[in-house]
Amino acid sequence: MTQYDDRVLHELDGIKEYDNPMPGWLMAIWWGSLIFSGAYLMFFALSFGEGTMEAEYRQQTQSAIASVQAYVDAHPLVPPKPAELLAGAGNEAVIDLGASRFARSCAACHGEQAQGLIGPNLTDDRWLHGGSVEQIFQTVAKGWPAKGMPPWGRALPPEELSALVSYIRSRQATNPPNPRAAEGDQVMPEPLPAQ
Amino acid sequence: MTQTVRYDDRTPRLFFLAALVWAVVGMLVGVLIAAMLFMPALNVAPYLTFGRLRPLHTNAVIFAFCGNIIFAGTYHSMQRLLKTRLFSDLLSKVHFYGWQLLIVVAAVALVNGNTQGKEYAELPWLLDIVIAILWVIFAVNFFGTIAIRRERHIYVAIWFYIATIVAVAILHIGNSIAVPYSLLGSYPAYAGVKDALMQWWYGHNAVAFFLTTPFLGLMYYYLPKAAERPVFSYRLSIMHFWSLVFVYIWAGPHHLHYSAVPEWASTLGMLFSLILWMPSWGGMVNGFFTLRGAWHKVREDPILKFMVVAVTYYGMSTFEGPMMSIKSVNAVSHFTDWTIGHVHAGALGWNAFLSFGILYWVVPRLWKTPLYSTRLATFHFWVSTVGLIAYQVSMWVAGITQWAMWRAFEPDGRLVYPDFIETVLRLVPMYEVRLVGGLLFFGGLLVGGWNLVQTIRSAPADYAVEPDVEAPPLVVDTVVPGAVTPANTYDHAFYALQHAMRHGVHRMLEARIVTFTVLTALALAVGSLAESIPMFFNKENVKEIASVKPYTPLEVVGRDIYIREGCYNCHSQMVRPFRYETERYGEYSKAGEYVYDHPFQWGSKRTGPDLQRVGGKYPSLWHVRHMAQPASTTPGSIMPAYPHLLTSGFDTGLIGAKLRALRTVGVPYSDGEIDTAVAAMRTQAGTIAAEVESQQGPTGLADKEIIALTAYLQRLGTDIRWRRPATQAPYSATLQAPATPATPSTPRDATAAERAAPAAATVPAVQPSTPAGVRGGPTE
Repeated sequence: MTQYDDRVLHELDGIKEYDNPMPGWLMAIWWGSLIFSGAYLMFFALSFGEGTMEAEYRQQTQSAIASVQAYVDAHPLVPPKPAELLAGAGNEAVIDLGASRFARSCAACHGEQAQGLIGPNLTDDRWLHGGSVEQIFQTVAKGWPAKGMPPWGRALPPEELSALVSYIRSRQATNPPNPRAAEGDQVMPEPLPAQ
Repeated sequence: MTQTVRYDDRTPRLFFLAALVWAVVGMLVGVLIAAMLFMPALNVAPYLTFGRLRPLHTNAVIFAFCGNIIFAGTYHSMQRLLKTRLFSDLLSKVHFYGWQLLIVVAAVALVNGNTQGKEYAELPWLLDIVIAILWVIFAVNFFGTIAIRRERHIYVAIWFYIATIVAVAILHIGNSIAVPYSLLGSYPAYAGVKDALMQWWYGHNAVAFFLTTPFLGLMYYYLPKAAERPVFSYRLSIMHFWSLVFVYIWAGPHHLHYSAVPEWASTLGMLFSLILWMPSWGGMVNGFFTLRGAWHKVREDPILKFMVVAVTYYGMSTFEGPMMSIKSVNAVSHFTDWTIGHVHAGALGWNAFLSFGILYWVVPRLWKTPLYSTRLATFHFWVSTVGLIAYQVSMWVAGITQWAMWRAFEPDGRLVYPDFIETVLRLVPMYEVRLVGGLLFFGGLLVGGWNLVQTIRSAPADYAVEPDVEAPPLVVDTVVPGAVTPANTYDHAFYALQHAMRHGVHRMLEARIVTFTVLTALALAVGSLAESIPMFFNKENVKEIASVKPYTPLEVVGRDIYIREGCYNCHSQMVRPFRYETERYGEYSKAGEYVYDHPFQWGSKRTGPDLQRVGGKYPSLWHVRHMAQPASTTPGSIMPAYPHLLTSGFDTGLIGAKLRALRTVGVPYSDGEIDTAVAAMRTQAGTIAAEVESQQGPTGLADKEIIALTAYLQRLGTDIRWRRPATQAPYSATLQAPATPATPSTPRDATAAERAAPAAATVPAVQPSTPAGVRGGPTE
């Protein structure tokens, strides 16, 4: 610890002021920050746009694409077959998974009982974008963004997407109260496989 | 030969009392809004919602509580440091009663929704003018007191007061320039990126020159007084005063990292924040080292306890601040609760603790009676300290948690938490801890307030009779032109030179107040001008985008509702160029998109999701239902409900004045557009109301505020066309051929040109005919 002289310079209203030097470590912070800033500024000015946030973002996106590509190559996605989706409609575990996801992500627009609210009724036999389970899967995965239906394929794991479709199929003809008025073409539901 | 002085202690007494009252009010509102964050039922629309009360909280604690402490301490200490009475009793009275009246009117205005929508500068333009007048009154009273001083040299505390008065005047006027459209309504002169730069030049330096320099001045008077120890280093005082004043003013753009503000500005903001480390710590070192030889007193004395922790928190905050200004650290902390924790470490730890220390020291002296209870003061100290630590730690945890959840990706390219609400609800336990911390701090304040009130109640009857103080007169040796005085002799120049060589140039400056003040203003001007002139005069900084058009009259009114309800307190409008933000929200924000935003609404905290690309994301009925009852569309939502928007009609009377005011600040509305504005509003509102009805929503909304707000929200971020980079989960790309195994189309980097181009075929959901451009993404 430095010894300070503690020589009194001035006194005002009973407050004395010492003439001590500034601590060396504090001056080291000062000069260090100045030198670092000068160097950084030089580096920034001479980088000619590289290392900027635009370039950072491009690079980030590119490496993300590469790693996602590598993952998808190693784990190829096989879209579910209609028979699997229909079979899921009779499987309690699948229905539970679909129902819990439906409650969190879909009920806000389609109603808690899928009776339709902001978005269409999913329990009647009218469909705007096709009523086969395969078409419903596509609608859920890709969405209809212009109409406010998000592409859930970007957001949800594959097994939840399939479970959602199975759950929706299981809600067919349940006639919940306060349904939204029918929209679209009539499509008879595909038969569920015998248990 | 001495003269007799009788100090005016009535004025500081009044200001100290007012500070105590506003501390209770401001922190009570703080506790309330902390509770609202996990108990949305506490919101009572329309007046008592988070969006309106949060500005009330910040303004009350900064300008009412801290403001009154500053005025009280300045008036109290400067009379003693200059050995003179305050310049004018009348000005002191006008200053005191004017400021309190202003606070009351401001509180009513904020709760009523009269706001300019700029953080810490929310007050309507009329009140801005009142603030400016009161500040000038303060300045006249202050410099007048200096003019009649009996001490030749001004002490370091006074330097800091001078910097405060000059800087706050420059900042307040510079940031508040606006064109009014009604008695309380106005649009700021600056738009978008420029408004953001001006706002954070102001906002950051409000911290610098309202919460730092005046409190350093107070520290330099009250800490050596309370510790009865000399100030450690006069040289350090000089060094850190001038470097602080010169450097601080540059640091504002560190609030705008990774935004649409040009990178040179954000880089300057970061570097000057790093350079600010020493100037800030200079104050801490002088504070701590002043206590050498007095540390044993800290054990017994609650006053010194408060002051020591205040200086400690000052040091911690001014280290955390430069660290958070580093771009990559800011990428973590920005928009999260970390910032909230940081600002409260400074505001509670430094400003409030120092204020409490000063109050405990000064109240017994001003009321001429011993403190009612030292034990209660010690209790206040410990309760507040525990509360403060709980507050700070919970906000650190909440901030880092939120950032980590925002950026989490699955290996297949999906966000782990696509629903924003998941990232909010995870923070609720931390919000509960924060409320407990806030309650402890508030409880401590109540105990302290009671202690001080009891002290005042035991004051002797003649406490207000000030004693006469003897002081020698000021030795005037300045040159009066033409006068025959010893000072005017030839020798005077030699004498002055000799004096300067013996005592240093700065000592001379301390006797020349005008020069000192001008130099302070110049130090402030350098950074201000160096950052603002290029921003305003170099068009490269805000690249024009031809497709960006002014808001329609209905959208202008909707935007005013957005501002009135304080949506910016929880929602940002700034998508940063990070993959995890563009994946969640859409294309990152461009400077050219904001050229008609008077004021900018980028926000600084995401309690809710970003809204820059919300336009077209949901059907209009979604917005109607969401505003009426947020939890109906977002289960678990903590947003307040705004049912009044569905019942009150939107304003059509002011639209002409509004458009003309906007035209004055540079938005190109034609005479025809202004003349037909009401008809245009009715038409657009009719279309949206019809859309809501066709979606089987409520009827009869065509003239209601909800439709204007929906019009604005549906417009947001839709003026440019963009598409997502091809990093999406592969399902949507592979479903074209369900029979074959998945092989995603060749991923491509979306170049800037492609992003700006109409939708590419790789995104099947794209509807090229949609005028608003590409949309899509998971819900929030």
